[in-house]
Amino acid sequence: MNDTFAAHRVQFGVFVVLFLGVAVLGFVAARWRRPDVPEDLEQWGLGGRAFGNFVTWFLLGGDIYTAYTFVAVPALVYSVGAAGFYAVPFAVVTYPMVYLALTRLWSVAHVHGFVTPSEFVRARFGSPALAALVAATAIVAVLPYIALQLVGLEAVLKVMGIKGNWPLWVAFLVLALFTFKSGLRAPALISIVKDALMLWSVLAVVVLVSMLSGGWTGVFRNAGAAFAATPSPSDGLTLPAGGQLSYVSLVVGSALGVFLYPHVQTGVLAAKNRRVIKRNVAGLPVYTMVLAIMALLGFVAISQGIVPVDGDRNTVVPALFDKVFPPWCAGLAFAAIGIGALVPAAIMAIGAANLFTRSIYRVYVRPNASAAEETMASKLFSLLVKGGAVLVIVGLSPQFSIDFHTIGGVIVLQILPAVGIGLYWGWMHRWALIAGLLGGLVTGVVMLYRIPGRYLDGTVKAHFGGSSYPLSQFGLGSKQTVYVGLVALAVNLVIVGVGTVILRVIGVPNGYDATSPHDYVAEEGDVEVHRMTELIDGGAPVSIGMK
Amino acid sequence: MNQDGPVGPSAWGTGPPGADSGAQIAWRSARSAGVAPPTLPSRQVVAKGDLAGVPEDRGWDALPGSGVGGGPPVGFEGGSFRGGGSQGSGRRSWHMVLWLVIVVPLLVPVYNRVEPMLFGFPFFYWFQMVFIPIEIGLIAVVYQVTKRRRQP
Repeated sequence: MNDTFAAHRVQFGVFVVLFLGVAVLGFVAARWRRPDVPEDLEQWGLGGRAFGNFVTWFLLGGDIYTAYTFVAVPALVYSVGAAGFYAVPFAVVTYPMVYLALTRLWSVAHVHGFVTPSEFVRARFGSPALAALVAATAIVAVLPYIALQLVGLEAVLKVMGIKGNWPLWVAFLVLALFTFKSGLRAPALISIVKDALMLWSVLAVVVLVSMLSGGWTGVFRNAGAAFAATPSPSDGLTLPAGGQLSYVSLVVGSALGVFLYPHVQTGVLAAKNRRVIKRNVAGLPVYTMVLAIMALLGFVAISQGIVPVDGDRNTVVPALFDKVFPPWCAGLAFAAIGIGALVPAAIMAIGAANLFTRSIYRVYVRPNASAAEETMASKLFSLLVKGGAVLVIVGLSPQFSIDFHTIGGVIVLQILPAVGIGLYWGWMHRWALIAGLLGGLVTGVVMLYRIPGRYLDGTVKAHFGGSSYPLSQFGLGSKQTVYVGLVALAVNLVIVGVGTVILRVIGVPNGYDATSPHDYVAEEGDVEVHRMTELIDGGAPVSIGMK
Repeated sequence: MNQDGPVGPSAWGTGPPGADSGAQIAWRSARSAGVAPPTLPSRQVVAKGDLAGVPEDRGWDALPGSGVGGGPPVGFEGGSFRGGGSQGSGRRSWHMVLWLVIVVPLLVPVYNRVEPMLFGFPFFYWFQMVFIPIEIGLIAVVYQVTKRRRQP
């Protein structure tokens, strides 16, 4: 296989044409379904909260199943086999929780006009400090995730033989500009193109693999033989004896973490009503099937003898597409991954920007900011976030950003007591929540620091080598490992529980809960939902009732 | 729409004018807190109850960029009491069905093996993938059964 640029002119041509088309679409999106009102944060940051069934399906699909997922999960399966398949049960386990919890978040956010979960925390527990801490935690957790979207894009460019960082800069400049201009409407519109390309690529690859000699039986036989030949005990077609607890705890930890990420909440809050979210949760597992097939492409790559380009394992799926597809078709698949990087990156930047604006800027910097000022602050912060993401990927090694992402997953779990449990239960004391959040963060980071690992080139590194912590470190005579995020969350919960009891006993006043039980089940058309939206939108009843 | 008197619309969602429109709404916390769902004659009563002892600007607490902590004592809850909770128990038991797709995929020892294969896929893989269509079906059923009827 030739991995020079000259051999990939057709692929590159298709890729560039589609990428440019999408960039234009991103700018046009500013005018898509835009009501005639002054721009405020609900318009820019949540698309006017008016997305229906289809747009929400594409938006959330592009949001949860990112380019990084589609590149990194098969890379993991390629490297270790069964353990990399955790992404599939993780996605399955996630949806019932989204179905129950995020519909409550939608309702309370619509009654009160919240754009972000940290505003909910502030209202629920009456603590601006807790809200700012939650916002900052979520922003820090999502930053490396944005950077990793570039890894997907980079992998595609590498396979096409393009060297250097300039294409990344160009791609992200385009992304930053259309996000600035169009807000959430841009990724919503682009995700439709991305998903069409992605579904098409996956269907094509399924058909191709079925036509290969041996079909899927042969794929698994070859992969099994390849794993049997390696000296490592931790790879294989099934999980090794010591890998089961790690698998389960990673599934649970990731599933609990997914709906705490700002981009997922932004996508959900932009839905028009509760029914849209519920119907979508029933439909989104279709993408899980796509993810499962993509994950299995790791085995197909082994079977086809794919060797990663430049030793970067994230290139195995693009390299596989490059080998089995005709050039124009490979170009479409590359575009699917490349455009797939833009959608979640845009939503993440918007989510992070809204968190900053609503819980830090408007509380601590400019309490009396007008709607226009607030929107501008969000737009500028989104630019900053994306600039930072490019710097992370260009300035630091990709290995570092993957470590950073692992840390991000552990970090985001620590807002679960305030945001997740808070949706059901207002019992926790605000100071106990702050203490628990900090305690969980420290525990998680210290544990991650103590895990040694290997770089991709095989050299050993002393710290941040993964997210599975050996139980033997706790004095348990076991070979099992456990996901750090869950341990840190347990510490967090214990502090919250004990702390709340102590604070109650000594009579420290709790925060004032500004939500009422009905807020959590309110639906579009309920009187207070209308009233608050009109109030916050500045009088025009456009956001909820628009249709 | 500003019908809340001098304080303006309350940010914590006081009883809505059409409180009867909530008759269909299951309100779990009312029951779990052991409070009998009261019948409220009119929203004026609700609004008064809500705002008693609340400084005027507290209503804006939930809005971004307004005031800071403090406020009414612990346990104060906005009084948007809405109809009975009889539907709630039905809904909740339907929601229990969703636990199936949460718990079974976590039982790794059950499916961590190669045999029996299906269409060339080892058991480990097809068993986990089978839960994707099962999940779609279950969530669709739960949604249909628990769907709240819209008011005309």
